[in-house]
Amino acid sequence: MIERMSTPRALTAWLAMAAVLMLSIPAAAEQGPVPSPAAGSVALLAVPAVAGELPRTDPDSPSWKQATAVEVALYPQDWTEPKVLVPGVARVDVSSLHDGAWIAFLLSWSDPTDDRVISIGRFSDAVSVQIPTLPGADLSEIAMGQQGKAVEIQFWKAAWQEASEGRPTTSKTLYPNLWVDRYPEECVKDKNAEAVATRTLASRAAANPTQPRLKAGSSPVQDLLAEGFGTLTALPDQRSVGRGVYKDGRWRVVIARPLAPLTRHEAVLVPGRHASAAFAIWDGSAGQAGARKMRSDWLGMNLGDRR
Amino acid sequence: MARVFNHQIGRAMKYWYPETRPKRQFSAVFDINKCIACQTCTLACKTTWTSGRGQELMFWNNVESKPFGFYPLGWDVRLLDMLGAQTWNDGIYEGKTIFEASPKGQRSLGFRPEDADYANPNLGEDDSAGAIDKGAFLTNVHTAAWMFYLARICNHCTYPACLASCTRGAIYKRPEDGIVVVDQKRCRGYRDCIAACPYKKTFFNPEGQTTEKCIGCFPKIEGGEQPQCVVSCIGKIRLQSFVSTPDKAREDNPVDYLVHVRKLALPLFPQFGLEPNVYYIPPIHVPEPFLVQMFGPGAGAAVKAYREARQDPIVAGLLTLFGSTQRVLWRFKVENGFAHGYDEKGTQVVRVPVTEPTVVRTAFDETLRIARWNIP
Ligand code: SF4
Ligand code: SF4
Repeated sequence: MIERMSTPRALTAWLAMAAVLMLSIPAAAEQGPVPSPAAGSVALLAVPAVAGELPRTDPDSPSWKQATAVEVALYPQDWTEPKVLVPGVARVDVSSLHDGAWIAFLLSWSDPTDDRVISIGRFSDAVSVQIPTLPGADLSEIAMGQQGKAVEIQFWKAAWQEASEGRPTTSKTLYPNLWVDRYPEECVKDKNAEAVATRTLASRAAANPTQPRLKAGSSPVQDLLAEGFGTLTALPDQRSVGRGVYKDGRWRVVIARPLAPLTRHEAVLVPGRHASAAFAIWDGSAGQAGARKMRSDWLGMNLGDRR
Repeated sequence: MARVFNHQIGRAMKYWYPETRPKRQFSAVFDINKCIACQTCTLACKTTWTSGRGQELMFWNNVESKPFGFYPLGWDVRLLDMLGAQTWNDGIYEGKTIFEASPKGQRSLGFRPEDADYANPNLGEDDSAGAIDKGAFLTNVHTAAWMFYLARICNHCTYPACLASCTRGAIYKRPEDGIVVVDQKRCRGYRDCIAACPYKKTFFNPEGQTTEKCIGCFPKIEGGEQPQCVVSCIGKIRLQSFVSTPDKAREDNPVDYLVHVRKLALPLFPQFGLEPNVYYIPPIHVPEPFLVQMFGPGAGAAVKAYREARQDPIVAGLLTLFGSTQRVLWRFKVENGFAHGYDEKGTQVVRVPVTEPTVVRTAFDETLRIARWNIP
């Protein structure tokens, strides 16, 4: 039954095609691999090799002093419907370090509201890092990559972090006065309870790739791949980590991923070489999710030599 | 946007994807006049599909009292208000559908309800449209004030707004039966579909963090059986089968006959432009302007035809087949005072007398030597 429910290929293909047809490619994406500072306002992000341990999950680590933050401008996602017409978070400050095996990004932005609960009408704050799988002159399309030129995406969501830290959203946490007689798994013998609980939660029964992110102790960062709009897919191997802290009207989030590609593509990030990354931010209190986001252009990065 | 043909509004319209019709289209007819709001359908659906965590306030099937009942709150009136007054001309809709009225940067016109809008699924139950003058309820309640029960499920629309809105293509229409489902593996809980569906029949599960919706009981459909809400209906108001496009309508298909041949059953808010596939026999005691707003310009004629149904052996016969069998009826025939129903293979699965025989019992039972107490 589950098999039958997978998206028909024709529809996905059509969606991808429709998305490509509707693309209005921003000039910056056509410029080439590394936007030169002379040509635009975009700076280059220096990614030095860290002295000491790479702060993979600690936005407050003193090691971040070794990196220089770059201000990255964010623009409303207006390539495809639903578009963002009212600009949200307009800037994210990015710093980055690597240790020869992993790269960590510290992303910091101002947000007056701390949104980490998801319900019907509430959305979570989130941030993502996008890296082209084919670096160099042949950069992927900034808008979620394109066929044959995928982008890898690391996605952090405040709501996932809540769940990973043992504070999952449940109907009872959302609506404390909600009365429930009994859930199905409470009506069966202990050894069957887990199976019944899984069966009665559709996304878990279908092994939705976001389900592991809702488990205590799991990483709040998801590794994804995209080849254009509507194609975002979780990678079978989930390796990235991260953590966010909200203080004084600012989010500071670390996202760390291995330097080596997470897919079968050629090397993505190599010490001593140029690379590119793009960033996106979702503001929960503005109801942002999915395509409704603020996004950057490609940002050139210089990875320092290994220590 | 592509151009597609929508037979319910009598014209071509804009839609996100080109026109593709399934091999056959899931459909149902609900006779509003017979619904008693017992909510057996709601419970049948709930116990089958939505008894789990995060589904506490989720009703794929709900029955609300009109005009003041809503689930979620104000689902229809809010959208009607956003759309503004629109016009029909001789069966053709001249106004804008929700796709044509989509605001800049959106795929359709809609709104996303808040959590609290789902908190009172039967708000407004039994409220009538106006106050009833004293004594009026003894004479003719319907002329003084009116209300009716509107049973609702997902319409498994031909042009689903939920499907069009999903940037991930996680919602799809099954080519084999036109049932619209959310791929629970691809959904990432963006909730664009919740804003888009004018009938508010996609629901967010905050514990699973995906959207869930009516699946038309597809495992039953695949086995040739009608859905849970249909077969459990106490009022026998429901019949599920497959609807054809008007040009391919078959006189012996029970849904086609009511929808296309007799035009007794009408779509819910056809002006939204989704070509919904659940059809309603409108309530006969409700002012026509309200019915036209809700079911389109055919409402007056449908009410008239229904009032005359008793004199029409085929309609009367077909209505007796509602709630008469678990099996999906592909064909029917009314002959010699009996309505006959057939499954996909043409096997007869049910036979019902159009008029139940009347038995007159004498006041005194000679066998038992006892006087009977006849209840009228
Ligand atoms: S009624 Fe709503 S949920 Fe059902 S198919 Fe139509 S648009 Fe989608
Ligand atoms: S079971 Fe039938 S009669 Fe009862 S509320 Fe549902 S539709 Fe109406």
